[in-house]
Amino acid sequence: MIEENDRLSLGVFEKIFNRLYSPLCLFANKYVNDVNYSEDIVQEVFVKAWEKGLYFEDLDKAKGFFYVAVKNASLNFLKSHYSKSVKAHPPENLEILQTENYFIKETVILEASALVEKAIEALPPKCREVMKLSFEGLTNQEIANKLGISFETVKSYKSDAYKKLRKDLAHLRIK
Amino acid sequence: MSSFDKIKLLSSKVADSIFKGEKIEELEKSKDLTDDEKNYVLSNILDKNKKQERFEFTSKLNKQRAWENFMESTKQKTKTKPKVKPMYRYYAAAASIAVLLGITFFLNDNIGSLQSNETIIVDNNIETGTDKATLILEDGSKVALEKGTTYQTSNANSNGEEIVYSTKAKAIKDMMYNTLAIPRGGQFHIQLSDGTKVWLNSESQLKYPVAFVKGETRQVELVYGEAYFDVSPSTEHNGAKFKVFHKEQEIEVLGTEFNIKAYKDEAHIYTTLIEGSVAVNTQYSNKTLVPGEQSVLNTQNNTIAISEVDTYNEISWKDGIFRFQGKRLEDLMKVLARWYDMEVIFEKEAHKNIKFKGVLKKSQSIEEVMSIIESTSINNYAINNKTITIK
Repeated sequence: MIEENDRLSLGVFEKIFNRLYSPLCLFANKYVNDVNYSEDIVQEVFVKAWEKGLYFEDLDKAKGFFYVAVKNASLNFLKSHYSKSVKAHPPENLEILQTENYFIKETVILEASALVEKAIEALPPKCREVMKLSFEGLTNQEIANKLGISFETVKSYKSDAYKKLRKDLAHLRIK
Repeated sequence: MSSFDKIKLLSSKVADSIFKGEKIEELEKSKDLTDDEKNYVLSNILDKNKKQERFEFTSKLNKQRAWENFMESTKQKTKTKPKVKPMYRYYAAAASIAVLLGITFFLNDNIGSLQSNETIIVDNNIETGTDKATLILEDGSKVALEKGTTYQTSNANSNGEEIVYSTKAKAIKDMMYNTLAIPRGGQFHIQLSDGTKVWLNSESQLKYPVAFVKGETRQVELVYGEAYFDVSPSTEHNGAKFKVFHKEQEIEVLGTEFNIKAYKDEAHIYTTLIEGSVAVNTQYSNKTLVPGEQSVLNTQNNTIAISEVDTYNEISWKDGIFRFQGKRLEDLMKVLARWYDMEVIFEKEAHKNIKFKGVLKKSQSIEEVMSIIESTSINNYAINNKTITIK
């Protein structure tokens, strides 16, 4: 992955930064539980990645690197500041935060949410409305009442939406 | 599987079960997380309050300032390295990375509006290549094979994407030869009567017998161009060897997979061995390759050089992609010119030597492909009819 004369151009790096900055901050926050610390950690990781001249073949490769790098930087941060009893107040104890499962859970939440959001946004407006409410746990009747449409219409929007969502997901899977 | 592959797979499973309206049934197969953890994941994705929390957190971030900070610290620490270029270059490059990354997420990213307005495209008549070939029969008559058309004789069958010769055809002493010619912008797959499979790249020609004589050396000729051979082993043909002739060299094999590239407009013939063993014989020398090695025959002075290569770069074309690792732009454009059937002009000689690394899909349009190259390697390009000018 690391090749000296083969680094990404700054423009490409900026694109990766734009795509990953917010999700990585959200992710860091799951370790350090503080917006400002999260931003600092993520920025530092980006600076280091740039200085090393890393090359990523695609966005997945970049994500693979940055998630792990941000996790490590967050844990290092917690270890250093914990002892000095600065204001850090992580969401869980360090043993739990260091587990692989904690890492998987939090990355999957971010990645799967992004997939779901993206697919929902691509639905026609009425379908989208219905599906958002449905995912929030409302029943068909509750959705019908809320949107002032019939129960049958809700069902038909949902069926259309599921068809399209499945199609979109199949599309997203293409390597 | 890298750690992110696992996450990606799990994420798409989770999204899938949500789209199917299932609960955690689909996820039960996954052993990466406990049931409690799966429930935690699902509720975090769907719960309105959690979504709101994420939204509020994200809105507190200052991405713009973060990028400025990033630029500052890179400038301070490495004064010579990253030069600040004018902003429009970022946007052109940024737009193109979407294609480079080849990922659907990027499609919603207003690429159109970010596209560099310097690129001049007049009457783009450059088309992406397809499966097509001309079959030249023993009597010299020609048959056009292409996607969507079928063709059948007593010895062969074609569905328009490949042609398969019957293993039952009897060889007669006076051998009948067919020739398969692939035009620029084409590719084709053939299975010979001994079961040997050959992938033929654009602008290539293969001559072969309709059937092989039992027990005798099987011989075919790569007249020109590029072909990937998966040779049916000698052990299945009473020990009969397999030979690939070319006017400059002969490849002798026992049963193996290899790639030969022998284009008329290139001064070298490249033979890359994937599996098994082959001998490369010329008028002047005989060399043997082991898997992972490539022989390069210089047809000017008849010398053969052998080196180890990343074989996938050499054979990725048969799997629908072009993978380049530090390839000179001039050589890369030659490959593209054959697939897209186009002419390439370099305005500056220096551009020919720019090295390119990346993966291009053969299904992409020429404009998509060029925007990737533009983002990483060149300033600008123009298309006029079937000609690309690299500026």
